[in-house]
Amino acid sequence: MSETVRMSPAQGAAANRGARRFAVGRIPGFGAATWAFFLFLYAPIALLVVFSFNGSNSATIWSHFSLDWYVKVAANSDIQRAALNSLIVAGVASTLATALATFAALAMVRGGPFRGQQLALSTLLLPLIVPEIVIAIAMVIFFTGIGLSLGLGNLIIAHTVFCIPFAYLPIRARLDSLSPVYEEAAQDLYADNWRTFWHVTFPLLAPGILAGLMLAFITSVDDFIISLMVGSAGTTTLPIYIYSLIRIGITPQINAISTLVLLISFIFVSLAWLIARRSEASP
Amino acid sequence: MTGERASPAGTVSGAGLVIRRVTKVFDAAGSQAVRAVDDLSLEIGENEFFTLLGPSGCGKTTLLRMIAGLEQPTSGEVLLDGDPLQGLPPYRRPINTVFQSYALFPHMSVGENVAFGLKMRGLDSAVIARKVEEVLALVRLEGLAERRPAQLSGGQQQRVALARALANEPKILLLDEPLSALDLKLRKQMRLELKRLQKATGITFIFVTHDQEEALIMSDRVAVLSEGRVLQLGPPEEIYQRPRSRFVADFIGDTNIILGRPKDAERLVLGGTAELRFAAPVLPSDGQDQALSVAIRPESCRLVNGAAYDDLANVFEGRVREIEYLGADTCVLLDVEALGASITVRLRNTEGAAVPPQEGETVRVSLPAAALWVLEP
Repeated sequence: MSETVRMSPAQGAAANRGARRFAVGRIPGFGAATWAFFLFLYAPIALLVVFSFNGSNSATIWSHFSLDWYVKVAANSDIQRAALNSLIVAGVASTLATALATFAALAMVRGGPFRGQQLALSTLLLPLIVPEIVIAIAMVIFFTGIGLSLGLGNLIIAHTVFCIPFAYLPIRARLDSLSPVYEEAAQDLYADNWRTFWHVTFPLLAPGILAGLMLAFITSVDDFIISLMVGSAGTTTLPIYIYSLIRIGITPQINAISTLVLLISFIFVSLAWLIARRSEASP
Repeated sequence: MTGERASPAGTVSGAGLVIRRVTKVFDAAGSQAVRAVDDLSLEIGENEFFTLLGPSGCGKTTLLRMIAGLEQPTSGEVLLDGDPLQGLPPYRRPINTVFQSYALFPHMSVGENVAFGLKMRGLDSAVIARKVEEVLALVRLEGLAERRPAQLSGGQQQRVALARALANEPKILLLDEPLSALDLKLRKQMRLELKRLQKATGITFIFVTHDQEEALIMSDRVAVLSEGRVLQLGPPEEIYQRPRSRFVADFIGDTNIILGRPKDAERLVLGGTAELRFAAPVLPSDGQDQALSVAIRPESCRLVNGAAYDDLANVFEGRVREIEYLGADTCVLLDVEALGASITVRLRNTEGAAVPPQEGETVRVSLPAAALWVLEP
């Protein structure tokens, strides 16, 4: 602090110029690392998508353009069943997780300070930190231990629980930026607690809830480890089905399914982002 | 002046709002508890434009929120027409608020915003539609019902907030610094508009502000607040012309303050031999040799010259330290040795008025006896 004060104006200006000239881009190897990152992340994905349109049976040697593999995917009843399972699990689990996350966010932000608030927040967000394999194994042991075997039901419970933090974060962010004055105004205008929530809090929170729902949905659709461990016969979801196909042998059919999954993920994440961005513009 | 303190003029016991010995303490975790409102009592009559005036942190907004029901008093009670409001949530009080930030619901149109309170009270939709139209006309926003709040200017949003509150025909309308977000020109316009609306609706307005000009222009009565207490209560003229304490005198307008000791009931001794005469025996002459603060407004002081004014009381010589040209007025800051104080004289710059003195010049200033008053110690 005192050094800064003692610095002459000329020295200060020089330091400023130096600071402006510094850029991480100039670190040796930074550019190369960036290109390597792009290569190793996106080249495989690009190849995967390209070879889904390959006319031959190979997933590595190009012959000609064709949509045959997409036709095959569409006709494959196993894939359809797996996709349906994924949709059911993701649909129900993300809805439940979002509802719970909404109440959790309301309790945390609007409920006023309470004992153990920090602890509650930590436990709520713990699934983001705990390794998924640990959660998966713990759940398998737990479900077996209490003798719970509901088929898809088990999967839905497991997905609901680990999706809550993904739904919670965008809702919490929205609620934090929402001034309590709207709720006070509603109360002042004869709305009781429930009607204040229904007519004011909920509509203003809706963009956050929707973004949370989509994030939870896509997290559930993409999940592999928990689905694999907790699942039983007849609960095969799309990622697990794709994995089982790979063990038989890689054909461009896998490329086609993966491309479709990628497309769905992309659409959902984009929507979540767009909603979040649009709601930032209007309070 | 002492009599007014006990029973503030203009209130009728029973009717209106009574605030009785209300205290509000905020317990901040980890730091000292804050006493925002401290044993405060007020009576606000029906159909009154009442202003709570004070610097930020004086407790005026907390008091307003307790009337609205958004905060609960730590102790004391608030009564409306004799009925205690204690325990009633905001949505059960016939009181509406215009919030500082307006708090218009951004997901509703102007019309839906104004209709909100009426809808919540379960009124018939035809009645609501008529009332919304009527109130929007009252605040001069006809034809804007379909717009979203974000599409309106600050001044228009302000009017929507007013309309939304007034539509419910509350017994009391609370206004929390509603003009602070507007630019000066709009603010001046809205002052008159608010005054007009209050007269037109006959609703009691309780207006919170830190702007003394606003308070003086609009109010029937003003309560000056500091540190959670009412320092002075009365009509604007009285608050301005006879502020009782140094705080109020400083907060409202500019004031010259002179220190001295009473010689008798009408004369104050200043420093050496100089005396300040009063028009009436107002000084406490109980024999105690007690230092007193005496005040006079700059516009009451006069610069005098020539022998024609020799018979005037309270004429002193002073040296001009500073001249401040304000357009309509010129302020002359004088060092007056006999008074042991600096005196500001405010001169009107009317046509043909005397030319103000130059800096460094020695002039004579007269402090008319009738314009002097004694501040509470």
